[in-house]
Amino acid sequence: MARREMLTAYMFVAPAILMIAAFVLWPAVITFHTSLHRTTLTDPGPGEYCGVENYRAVMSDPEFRRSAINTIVFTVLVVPAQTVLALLLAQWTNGPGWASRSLRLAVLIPTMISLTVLSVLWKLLYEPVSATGSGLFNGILTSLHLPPQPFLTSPRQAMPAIVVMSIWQGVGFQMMIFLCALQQIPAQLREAALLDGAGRWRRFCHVTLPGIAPTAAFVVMMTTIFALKLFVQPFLMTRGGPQGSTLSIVQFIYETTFFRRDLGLACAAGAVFFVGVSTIAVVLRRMLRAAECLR
Amino acid sequence: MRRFTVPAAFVAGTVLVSTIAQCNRQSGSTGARVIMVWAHHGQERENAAMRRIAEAFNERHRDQQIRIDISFFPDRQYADKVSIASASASLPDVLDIDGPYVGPWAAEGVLQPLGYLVSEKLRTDMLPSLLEQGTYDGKLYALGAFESALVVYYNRDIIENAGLDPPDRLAGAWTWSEFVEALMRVKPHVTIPLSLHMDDHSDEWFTYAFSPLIWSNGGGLIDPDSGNVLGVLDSRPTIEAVRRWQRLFEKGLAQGTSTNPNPFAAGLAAFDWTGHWMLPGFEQTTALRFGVMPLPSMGDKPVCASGSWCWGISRDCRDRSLAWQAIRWFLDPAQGIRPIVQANGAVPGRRSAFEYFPEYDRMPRRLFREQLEGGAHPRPRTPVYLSLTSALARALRDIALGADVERTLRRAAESVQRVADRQGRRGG
Repeated sequence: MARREMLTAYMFVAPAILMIAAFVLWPAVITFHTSLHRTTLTDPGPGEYCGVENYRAVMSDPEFRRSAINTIVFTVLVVPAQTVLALLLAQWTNGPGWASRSLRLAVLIPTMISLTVLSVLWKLLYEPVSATGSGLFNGILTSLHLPPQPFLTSPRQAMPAIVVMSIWQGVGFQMMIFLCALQQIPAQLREAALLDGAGRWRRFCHVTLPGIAPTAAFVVMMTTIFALKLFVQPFLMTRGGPQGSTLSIVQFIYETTFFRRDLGLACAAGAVFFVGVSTIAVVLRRMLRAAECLR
Repeated sequence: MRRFTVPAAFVAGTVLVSTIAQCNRQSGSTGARVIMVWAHHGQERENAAMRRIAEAFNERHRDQQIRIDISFFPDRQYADKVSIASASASLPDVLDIDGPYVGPWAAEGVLQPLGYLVSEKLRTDMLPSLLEQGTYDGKLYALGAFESALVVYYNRDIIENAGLDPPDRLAGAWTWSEFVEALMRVKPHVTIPLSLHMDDHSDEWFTYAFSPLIWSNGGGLIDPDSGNVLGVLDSRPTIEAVRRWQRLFEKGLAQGTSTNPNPFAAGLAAFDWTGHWMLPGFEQTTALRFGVMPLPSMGDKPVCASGSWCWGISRDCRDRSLAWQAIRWFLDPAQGIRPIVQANGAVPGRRSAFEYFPEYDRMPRRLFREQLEGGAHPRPRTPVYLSLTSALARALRDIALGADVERTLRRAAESVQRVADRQGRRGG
């Protein structure tokens, strides 16, 4: 009977396993295999075996290096800011009143709208001053008698502009996760701390933070992985410019595949990206786990 | 037992349904020979015209049991779709090809040469720019039913107020200095002296619209013989042409970035650097009095842009003569060119097709025809074209925003040269 039950269980999970094998594992194997061959995009099969030549080429490609630096800068700017802001918003809106509910909804709305739509919208908001008008932000600056800013048209400002937009877009989702964690902290703990005379800051540090530490670790990890996969915002708002200042690794892989038509090189870049993201995720997980143990 | 039966029945049911679906697809065939055609999803009028053209073909060839099965794919994903189909050896028989893709797809073997199927009569009837566009490495791979034309539209009210008299013949095209002088004269009276559509999201616009200035100045994008980009895209004449173009933005004669896709129709721009596709819209704008002039010349003579969608036979096509029947129908002046050109407003691709369009005997369309018959310059047909056009577009966007011309073009040239060198090693 137990054996039959096992068989039944396997049959139930079989479709999922097949799907994962067909659409995740097999493409990963093919990607690695292709990265070792000279392959043009339209070739029906892998081309000539070339060992690690594609890896050498991708690591020495100035555009890839630039895209890697840009992606890391974006991640380093977005992850801490978005996590802290999400926690503050969750703390702020963690209440039963209509004001808290409305605020939660307002912060959550951007995460429910397509990133494509938001990117186009923010491009309009960031428009510089021109003969036919200006974007909302420059309109506000001008009306306050402040100098207008080139935002997306300046190599220095384009990445910070995309960072701000991305934080605004993604913070609602992290806030909701933090809210769930906050609501699971037993009320008795806070009340006990209150009776012991702990102030707001001490309650936050000694009751709230330890209570949400595992959630915070999850949020940091997920935000990091999402941030490293940056593509839509710069692709639609700046096309990776100006002067390559917002070119991301995923856009490099996309352009190498469809413009350069160099599938071998694109797969090598994809494999390097995969290893990089996995390494960061593992290191981050260890660090976060160590931090949790120290607590 | 029941626990086992439920999932087993589910799996068996799934297999059964997919088997029936597969059988249905096969029994759907009635023995007719089908020509699979893929086309880009253009304007709805254009798609409807293509469907009617295919239906007319099927009607005419009913007795011979030959029919066209046409599928449309969104414009922007079309090339990616074809590339992926090529990798999985599932291409249709006949492909719609955007002109600049002829080079990469011919080099990669996605297309088969079709020159031996083309009669001498058809060859001499085609616009020369279309033959040039479809030729790669000395072999003809594609032919188009229509062409494009790039011109400068001007607002008559503004131009007359400024006392200007733009040319209406290619031979009388303004020099670059005359053009800049005209822009300076209209500047005090208009919001935007010249609209250059820098908001265009596609890379192709930049290569199509501004390469003629580079060619006109004696520069180039790539050496057609050696395939070298370094030393060509960053050559002196190219740098000089782009530097002169950059001054338009520095002097406030054009906008480096804009969200208004059509300031000319709104009466905000004095000149509009754009293509034939804007003409029907301008003609319907009753408040707009406009004229058309050829692009200004930076060197000895003006150079005109050209290129549009064309038809080719794919690598996976088994019966080339059958596929050619479909293409010949699409290129037929009465059956193919007339309805499609009526729908999309492009320039007919065969000389004999102009008899259906008397408007090409008078302005503004006369200039379109004159430019195309007088030696338009197609974009380079090279395996690295997509990298080239992407790098050039990126460079021109940056240059319009004030980047250093020489350094930016050098970086673009190096980037494309790296691609060319690697492609050489792959045997592309």
